[in-house]
Amino acid sequence: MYSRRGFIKSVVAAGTAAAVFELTREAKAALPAVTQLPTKGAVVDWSSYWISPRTLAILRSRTSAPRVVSETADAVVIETASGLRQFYPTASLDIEKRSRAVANAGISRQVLTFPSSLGIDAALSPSEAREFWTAYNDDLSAVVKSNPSRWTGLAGVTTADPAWSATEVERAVGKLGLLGVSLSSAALETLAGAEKLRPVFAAADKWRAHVNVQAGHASGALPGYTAVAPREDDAPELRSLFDAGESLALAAITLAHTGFLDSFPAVTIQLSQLGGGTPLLASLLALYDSRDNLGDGLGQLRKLYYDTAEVGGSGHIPEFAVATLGSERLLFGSGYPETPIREVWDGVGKSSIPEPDKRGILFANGVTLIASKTATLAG
Amino acid sequence: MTTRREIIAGGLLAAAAAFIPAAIANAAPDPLYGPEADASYPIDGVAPKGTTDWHNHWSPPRASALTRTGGARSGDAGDGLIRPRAYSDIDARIEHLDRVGVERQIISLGSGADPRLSVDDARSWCSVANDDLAEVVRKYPTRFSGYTAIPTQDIKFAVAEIERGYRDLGFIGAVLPVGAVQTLEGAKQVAPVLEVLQQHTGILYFHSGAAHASIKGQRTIAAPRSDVATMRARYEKAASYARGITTLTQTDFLKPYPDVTVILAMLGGLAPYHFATASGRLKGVSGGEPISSLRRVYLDASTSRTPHTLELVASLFGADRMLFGTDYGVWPSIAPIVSAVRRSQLTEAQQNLLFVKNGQDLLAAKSRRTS
Repeated sequence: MYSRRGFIKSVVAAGTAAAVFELTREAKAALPAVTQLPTKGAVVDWSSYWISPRTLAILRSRTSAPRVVSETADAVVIETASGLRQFYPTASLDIEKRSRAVANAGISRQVLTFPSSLGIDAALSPSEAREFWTAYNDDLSAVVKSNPSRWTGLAGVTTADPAWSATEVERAVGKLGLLGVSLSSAALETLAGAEKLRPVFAAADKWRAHVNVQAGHASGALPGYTAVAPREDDAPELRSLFDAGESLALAAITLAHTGFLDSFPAVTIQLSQLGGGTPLLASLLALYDSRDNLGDGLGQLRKLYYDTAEVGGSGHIPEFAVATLGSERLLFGSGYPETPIREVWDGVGKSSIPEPDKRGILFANGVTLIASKTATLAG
Repeated sequence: MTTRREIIAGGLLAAAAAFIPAAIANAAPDPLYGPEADASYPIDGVAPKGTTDWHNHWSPPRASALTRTGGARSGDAGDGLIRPRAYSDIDARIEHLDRVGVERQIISLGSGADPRLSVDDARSWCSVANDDLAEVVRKYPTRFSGYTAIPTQDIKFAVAEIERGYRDLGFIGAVLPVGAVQTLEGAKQVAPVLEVLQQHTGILYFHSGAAHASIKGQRTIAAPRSDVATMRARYEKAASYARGITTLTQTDFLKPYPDVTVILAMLGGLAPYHFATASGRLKGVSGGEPISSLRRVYLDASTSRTPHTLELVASLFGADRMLFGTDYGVWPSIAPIVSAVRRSQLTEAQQNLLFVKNGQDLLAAKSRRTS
């Protein structure tokens, strides 16, 4: 577990180790943006990242991270708040090119969010954040309205200013045509942190909106867990990756088990990356629930949705998630362009997950959810 | 200084209880988890001949008396869970082992001394507890082996106690709480334990729990009860193994101790899951896949009620790095673990490695080197 500041320090301390991570990302950015997918039906990609023109301009103008540090015809390089460098293919930023690439990949619809890995929520002041997210949500709205059958959008807000963020959720869903909002997992690691965001959830509930929880930093004003920053010789890159997974699982515990969501029955929740370590937690709950008489902890976890972004291409993790959480709440999400769509698709497609479950994850679950939310919003 | 009265609140397994802060005081009245559970638990699978159980617990009578008042329930180790009779009754234990087909158990006394004890009390507890366990090992040499219980409060004493364990008590290694190796910095504080085990080509067993507060790098759980503290503690316990395995397999810490066999409980908690996620994304300490370094350690199968966890571990670590373990004593029966292994998709050969061969090979190797 980590605090936002601790997480940032830990990654900065990674030094050369972080370069390994960067090289991996660089290599991926150099790959073809997407590859052809088998087409068996409509596919919704519930986890993808898009940086809008006006937010890219803000990142270009900044002198401290997060900021654009270099650009070529093929990619934009952004220094994250943690000191890492993220590579974004220009084909993913230009919405027309992206649309073609996504279509070629067999994806019917992408749900667009701003990438939390850049650390905007933790790094910007409240006033900077308000300007940033207003611009992003306006840009995103224009894209969604330009091709509503291709794109769905989730708004960005700041955890540093819950009151403003609640208002922005109302604007984003009520006026801009977005489906909901994306939040950083660190903001929800504890019940105390979630309570600070109660106004945001109330607004989301009012509009029956969708909430996506991404692994990432949140405002330092929110309570969280203490961190131990790993030393350079102490596997910092692995520890940072694992900490991100823990942050998502702690958010899952907050949202599934504390009763916090009882006040917001119309909100649907999606945790990215299969909720980090949540499937392992589910296996532990299957073990302990009966002995400790603590209720249906596993059933509570199954009320949330989980997407498949960034869970590796081996298939082990999706298989494990289906075995512990079941397949009904699992959604296909690629993490594009930070992860090639094909990698995640193959991870699920080539796994030993039973075919009906596999079809649910890759096709039906996502389509059903988007249909239910769209119908709700239209109503 | 912590008093004995305070120990009562924590009990023998307080290290583990540190990860279960909301004591489950109102444990389920389910008879399968009561003191007679070992007699009533359904046996739906018998382990193959030659099976060794590498993870189980027993209450050392004289040491437990140090931590108990007249008001404490027999079999209650302070975490609120009701222990089966076999937790303290060796005859009942042997009867259960015979029922489920387990030939030998390697007994660990929790994670060692309660980390909240004073240095003096921790030393006393370890000395008495190890003497208690040695009596059992001497009386039933074909059924039980033991790990030396040591205090993380006093590493110098711990080293001496491990030496005594080899010299006088017939033990095959030592047990540490996994909290001791959450970071490389903390692990270096307990390096003398590794050094003495290296001399004896011994076994170092990591069990759930916090080390003494002086051991650096341990994370604290600050969640209040209202914030599902028990749930978070369970997750944190699993996460602590992932951090420990990262220290042990993804840094240079174990390089000076090539002859120390390292075993971790609970199938490595979150480690297999996290490392599967990292596969293909990050490089390990050797410059290759992080997973390739994982085979430096063994994992015991003590939380294997669900077969898919076993299958994940087998695919990442290899079945030749898995040992049969049950957490018996805390859990009321060995049968569910046997059943889970049987129900898994592990091949017969893999199951034989887990139940029998890996354990027998380890014991034989340690025996040869000792003699």
